Amino acid sequence: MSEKDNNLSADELAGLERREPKAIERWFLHYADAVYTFAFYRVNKDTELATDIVQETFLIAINQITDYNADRGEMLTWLTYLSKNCIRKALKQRGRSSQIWDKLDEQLLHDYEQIAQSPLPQDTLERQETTELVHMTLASIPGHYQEVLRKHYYENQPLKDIAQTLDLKESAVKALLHRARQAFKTAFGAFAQSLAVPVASKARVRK
Amino acid sequence: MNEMNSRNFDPLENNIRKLMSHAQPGLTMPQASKEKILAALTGREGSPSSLLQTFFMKGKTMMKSRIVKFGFPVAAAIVLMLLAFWPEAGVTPKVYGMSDIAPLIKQAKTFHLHGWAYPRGTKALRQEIQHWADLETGQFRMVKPGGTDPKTGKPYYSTQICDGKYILKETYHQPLEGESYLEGRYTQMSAFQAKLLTRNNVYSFIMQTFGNLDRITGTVKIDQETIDGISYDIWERVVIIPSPGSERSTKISVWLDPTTGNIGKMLMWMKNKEEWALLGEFDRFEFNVPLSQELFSTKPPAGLRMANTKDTAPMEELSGDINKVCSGSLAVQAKIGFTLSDGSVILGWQSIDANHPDQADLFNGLELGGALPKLPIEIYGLETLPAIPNGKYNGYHLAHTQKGGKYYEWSIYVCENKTTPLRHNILGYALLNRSNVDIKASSLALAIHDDLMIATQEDFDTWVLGAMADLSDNGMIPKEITYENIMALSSRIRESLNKEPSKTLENR
Repeated sequence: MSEKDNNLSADELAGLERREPKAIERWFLHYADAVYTFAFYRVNKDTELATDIVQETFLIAINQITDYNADRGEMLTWLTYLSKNCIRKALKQRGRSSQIWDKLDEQLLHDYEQIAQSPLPQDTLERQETTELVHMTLASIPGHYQEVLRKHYYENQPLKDIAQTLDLKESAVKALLHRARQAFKTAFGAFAQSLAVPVASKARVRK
Repeated sequence: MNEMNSRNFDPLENNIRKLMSHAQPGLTMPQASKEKILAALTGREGSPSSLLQTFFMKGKTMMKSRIVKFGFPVAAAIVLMLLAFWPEAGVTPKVYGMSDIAPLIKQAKTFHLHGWAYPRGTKALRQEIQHWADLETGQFRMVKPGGTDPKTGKPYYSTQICDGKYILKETYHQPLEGESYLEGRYTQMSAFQAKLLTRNNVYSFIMQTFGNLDRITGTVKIDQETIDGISYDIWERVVIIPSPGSERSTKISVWLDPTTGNIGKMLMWMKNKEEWALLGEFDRFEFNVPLSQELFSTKPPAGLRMANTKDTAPMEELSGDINKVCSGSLAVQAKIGFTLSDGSVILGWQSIDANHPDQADLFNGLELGGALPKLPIEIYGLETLPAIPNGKYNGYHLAHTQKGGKYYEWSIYVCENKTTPLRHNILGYALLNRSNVDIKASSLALAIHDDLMIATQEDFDTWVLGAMADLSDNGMIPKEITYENIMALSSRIRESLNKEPSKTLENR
């Protein structure tokens, strides 16, 4: 897995197809938090159920790994697609419904899609769904991107201080921050889309 | 574009800044759950199996999860998971689920269990079970079904009472001629051993009901029921027990009060073929209840034939002959084992050559964290059971103690790999050994499964230091053996192993 993005290299994919433990470990650890966070908010913050869903998702994924086609979409997209089916099934079995599943109306989705173009409206920022979407997004991007975003935007640390902490030049932190924002934007948009589009109507990301 | 400009004019940056300020980041999947799933994915774990010594039956039965039994796809539907703490508790009242049982049990000082066993799944044959235990004082009283006297058709019981020093064991004798009778026999043990035995009895029961407390798994809330005005959630846990040519399952149903965490009722089932048979029912499983000292009185009840007195009661030795193997004049025994919170293992062990009983020289010049003594049979390392990749541990000397002319070695075993296996993912440890007397001798089969988990300094002081003192003439413990020192030493060794792979077992 590249640290810079969520794409899976051909070698890594081949390793998964051969069920190499190391490849599975890298793959799982890279995506586990993202899938967990994705599931967590859809099962009403039931940690046990979210964990169950992560396991089910990855078990299904590893058994169907030859079906995955990188040209059709990122691994995370595929995993979240698989997890949505697991979530639906789990909630149905328990006679429960997801709190978030039906909440994303078109306006909210439109706002999310404008993240790189115009300021998000205040009421959108304050929506619980937005908070949860941010959590999912952060969980899905590489750790060093999370860290630099957290330091700069949540803890309000100046670039100079972050550079000192990370033992980097300020220009390198600026570049890192830029890449982190791009990763955030991509993941944020992907999650927003996946939340809004019903599973049944979405094309499967398969060969 | 400088930082200020970027802040003012880049909508993406502005939005991210606002989004981040509204959302405290940090939700991640609990590490324990990751380890568990990863083990299932890679097949490393051998599934969450554990030794089950049933409460009603003698012998040990291996439990095996559905993950292995059914393979990955089906297993996903019945995953066995740890619940994780979610820091958003806020002001909502605590709702107890099965995962909350573990901390409740772990902090409990006393236990009371009451119920009935249903032999052959027949309620008409029910026999009462009672168990009181005080973990702090090492006192317990345990009444278990013993069977049915074929002559009279009446059930009989096996009772053990420990007052913290003496154990009174009542055994039902069925002579070929004459009437059956109950015989009482005393043994005595140190306060440490009494506490250890009390704890082990309680945790043996817990193990078979809830499974490993560090990984309460596979429980599913199936229903609710109100009993005596209290609304309970009913949780269920099914465990597959593989056996040759067939398959059996056990099921535990627990009535849990979600507002208090109290357990109102428990049912234990066994599935033979397609039918569930009720094996036992418990109406009391209480923690931290006051227990009367009368319960732990070892004064023989009227009518009990005593085989000995307290004055003649033999003194029990820690672990007795458990975990001991012999080869000619050589013997090696693991007296007690502990798994630390970082996964390293402390083992108290001894090895004797009957032809050379004096071992003083072997312990001269040893250093904390240094090489192990060259005892006749040396437990030089450990390997997880079942064996998994990177599941080997190197042994290092900690200290030695001496009692009654015998020497006991205390060693720490540190995993060679950066990621030490989680104790609840393995069954135990094979003790890798070699003879220092006959280098051609083959390794002896030796293992421990009943090691204690040491999670805190209090655990360490109670169990590790307690065991060391117990196997010491004067009860003294080497002063350098402290929780802090040992954890630091374990960490240093692990770092050195990672930096210098040449030190690993494979390369030594």
